[in-house]
Amino acid sequence: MRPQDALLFEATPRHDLRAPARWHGRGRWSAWGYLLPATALTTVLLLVPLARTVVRSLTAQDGPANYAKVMADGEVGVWPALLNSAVWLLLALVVCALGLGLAWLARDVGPRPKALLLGVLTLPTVTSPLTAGVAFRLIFDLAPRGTANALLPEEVLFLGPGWIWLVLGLAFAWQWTGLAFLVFHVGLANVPKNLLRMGRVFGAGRLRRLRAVVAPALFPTAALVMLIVLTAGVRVFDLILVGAPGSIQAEVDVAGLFWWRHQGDLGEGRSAALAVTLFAMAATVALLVLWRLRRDWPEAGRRPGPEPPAPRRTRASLRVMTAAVTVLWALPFALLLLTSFRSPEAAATSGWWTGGYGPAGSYGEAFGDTSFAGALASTAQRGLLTAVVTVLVVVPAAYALTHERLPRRTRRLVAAAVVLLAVLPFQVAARPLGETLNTWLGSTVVLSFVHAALVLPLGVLLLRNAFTSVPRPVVLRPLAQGRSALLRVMAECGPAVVTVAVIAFVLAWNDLVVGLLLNWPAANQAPLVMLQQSRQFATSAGALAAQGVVLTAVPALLLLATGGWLIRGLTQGVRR
Amino acid sequence: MPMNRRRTLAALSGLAAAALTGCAEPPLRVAVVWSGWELSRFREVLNGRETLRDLDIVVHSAGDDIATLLTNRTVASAVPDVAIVSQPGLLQDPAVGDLLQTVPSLDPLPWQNLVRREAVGPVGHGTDAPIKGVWFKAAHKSLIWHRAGTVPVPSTDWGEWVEQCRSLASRGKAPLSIAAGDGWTLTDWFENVLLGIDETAYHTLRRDPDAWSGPSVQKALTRLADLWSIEGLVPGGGRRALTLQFHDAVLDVFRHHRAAMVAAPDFAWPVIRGHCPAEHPAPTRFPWPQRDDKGAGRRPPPPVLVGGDVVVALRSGGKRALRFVEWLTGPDATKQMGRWAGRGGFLSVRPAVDAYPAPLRALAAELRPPTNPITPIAFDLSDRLEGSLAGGNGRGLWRVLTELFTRVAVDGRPSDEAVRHATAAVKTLAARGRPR
Repeated sequence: MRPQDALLFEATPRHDLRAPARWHGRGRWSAWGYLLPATALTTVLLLVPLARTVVRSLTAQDGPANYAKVMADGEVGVWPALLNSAVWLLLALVVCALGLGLAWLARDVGPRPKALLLGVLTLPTVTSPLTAGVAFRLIFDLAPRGTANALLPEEVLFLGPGWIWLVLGLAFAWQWTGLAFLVFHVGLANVPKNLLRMGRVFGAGRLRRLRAVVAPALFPTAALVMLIVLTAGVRVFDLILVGAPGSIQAEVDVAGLFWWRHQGDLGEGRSAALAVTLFAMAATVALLVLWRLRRDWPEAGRRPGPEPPAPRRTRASLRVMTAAVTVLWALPFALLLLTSFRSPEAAATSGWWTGGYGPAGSYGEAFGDTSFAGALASTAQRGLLTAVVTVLVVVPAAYALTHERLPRRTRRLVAAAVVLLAVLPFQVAARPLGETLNTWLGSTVVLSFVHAALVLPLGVLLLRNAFTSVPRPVVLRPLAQGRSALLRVMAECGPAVVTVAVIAFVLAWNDLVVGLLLNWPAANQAPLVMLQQSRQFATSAGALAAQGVVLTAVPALLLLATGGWLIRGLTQGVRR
Repeated sequence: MPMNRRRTLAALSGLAAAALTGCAEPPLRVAVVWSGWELSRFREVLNGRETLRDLDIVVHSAGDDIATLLTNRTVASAVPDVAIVSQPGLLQDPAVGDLLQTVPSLDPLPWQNLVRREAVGPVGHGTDAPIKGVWFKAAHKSLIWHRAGTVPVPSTDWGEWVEQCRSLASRGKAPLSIAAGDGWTLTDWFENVLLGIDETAYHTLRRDPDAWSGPSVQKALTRLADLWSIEGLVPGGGRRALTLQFHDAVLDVFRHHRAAMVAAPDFAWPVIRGHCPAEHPAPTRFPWPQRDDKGAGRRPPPPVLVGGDVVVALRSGGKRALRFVEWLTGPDATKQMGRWAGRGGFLSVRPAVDAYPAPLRALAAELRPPTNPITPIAFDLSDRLEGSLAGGNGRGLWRVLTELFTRVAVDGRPSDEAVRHATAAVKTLAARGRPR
């Protein structure tokens, strides 16, 4: 395989790159066979609806002028929303940098503090944006209730104009920094120390060493992290819905939310044009980031073998940093938990430090009627089914893209499509999808397939990274015998497969947008039930906190149970 | 053949899931605007039912976004079977109105007229148009609640009342708490003021986009801007008010004692009861100009701005939805309604429901205009508007008034400039209608 064959997401193979020139797959047709389920799912549920939206934006209402008209519409005012969406994309990049910075600072901490950091930083990633919104609104609420305001000499209106960006931005950073940290901290450990030492000896400057040694080692994983966080940035929706008071929502509107609210005002063609614009924006940023990375470091170089870990004593300053980060990141959870054990009246009128605790807290109110408990069950069912479907579809697709023979151009095309689909905002496909599936959407099965289609691109990228790094001998024998190596590869990459399943489950479990757009009001989706409580935030704060705790507990337990696997799955993907 | 095995597995898991979801008749989906305490009360009404027990019912709360959700443009089938909405304007929206069944109604005539599906066209206002909804809950929105001892008694004359506010503010005591975070509380302000100035104009606004350019609208906006720009009017300033929701504003007055008065509908009562048990509030009337400005010296009656929640049956719900609506608004449910009414925050247009708490007892009668049944009642205008003016977070009249409030109370702009902006915005929205 020549370097220029490499896909955008080429993980560095750990083995000899030169011979044999290609895998001996079982021919082109079998490769297509493996790709078929993924292609079918993506085509039906994402590509066709996407194409229909594009066609509609160019033909309905004012034709191609839809784009100009939606931008020029002074009264409905789409510009602030589009600019805000751009801000979220930038913020996504900032969050990646923050994760890298933290990983750099923490590179020397001992194993136990590191495990603590990993746990506390990654937990928010599996928390639903809705819960994050509730937690941060609890922190930054008005004077008698808000924690931040209790610490300040005078009341600061964090939820008011201007400041609200801080609240939402912090909530987003809190959620996603952990993922970047996790991936970068493994990436940094893989930086070839000998090369660094050599660079230092030969007088290469700090920047030069960073450019020539550190960055190439980080690239394969960095790309994936950026893509995940960018996707989260494009899909920001529920965080704003619950985090900002009604009057402020216009100020922090994002294109996706604006689209949802103003479909009726915009009309068919213009709302389609808006959705396409949002998608184009996300796609541009994603491709730009990845292209820049790729051009700078076309060859990642070989990954070094494991080096003996240098025994280190954790320095005091590092300990302080670890403690500070742990406290900061655990704080929203702590507040959520504390508030959930207060009575609803106490939560509505005072801060957590004033008491009002009871054994049942606000859980009685949260489960007061059966709707939330029922929603939890059906949400879990949907999540499980999504995970199963995703794995069944993604594994063969990733296998076809790594170990089967496909024309180079096809692979490039597929790679580009996968990256674009990974950042796809669901709004751009929702309406045509709704028209086609219509009454079918009531069923859990159909919705699970929609979820699976949305996770699929990310899953393919992740598994591909893992599959390419499978040691060759494992694959060569079955291939030489003309058999498929799929099962062997899958067994080798157990952690990565589990990771894909967990991500699929968590995304379906936390989903609000798909349920809201496609399946309301049948959506017995737990976050949707929670959103319903949030109309008057103050008097529902207790119940919201309780529901948030329950909603977080499930992915948190999953994270605890599979933690080690997830780290390997996200970073290396190969069974050791 | 691994592929085959995989496909079989996929098919099997699909089947299993289908079996789990069940093939029984799906429950009746009821979407409502309430959440929290009110939602619990509504569930009590349902759970206490003695008839209609065979019907399996799920309640979903849609909050202030119910309009967006009902006019679900994404999936036409993803609508509830029954909805309880506070915006009768939705019934006239073709995207919703066409989905509704005609229902039998025993409501007072003016209330029936609010929910007739009007013929398409500029006038079409017949009293024989089909009735598309039945009123479940009504609200009295022309009230001021105050804490005992802060204001002797709030004046009911607009001019005097503004002076009262001004003098309180100048003494460093915030006279009002305004929940500018909830757009509908601001539109209630506007509607009350306009109703006090010019009732005829109020009634024409809904049908006639040109009426928004009239002098009465201008005058009402100016009154509001002048009031809202009073220094120290609200505790913590206008910026803080923007983050306040309805319940926050009520708690500000009765729990945290940060302000003296709050303009709020009758359903502020349970919030006060539940969180501030020591208080004994009694509402007074929303102030209005008590002398006719034209000098006739006639005392106009106090404005009665009403709101309410109407039950509609969607076509998708079929006969079951109709049965449910008939039960919920018929005599069988009166006892359950009475239970909610007794805890406050629930008024009914039905005389049979009368178990209200003492301070609210007189209000229900005002919702039923006694003399001439043809006289239109002043229903919350923003809830009756359609198209671009219709309410919702960040849109329509809600947004215009939020911006007016922000200009005068937060940015400190002169009120005539803010009013000019608001008038222009409202005119554009009115002229815009709904794109085809």
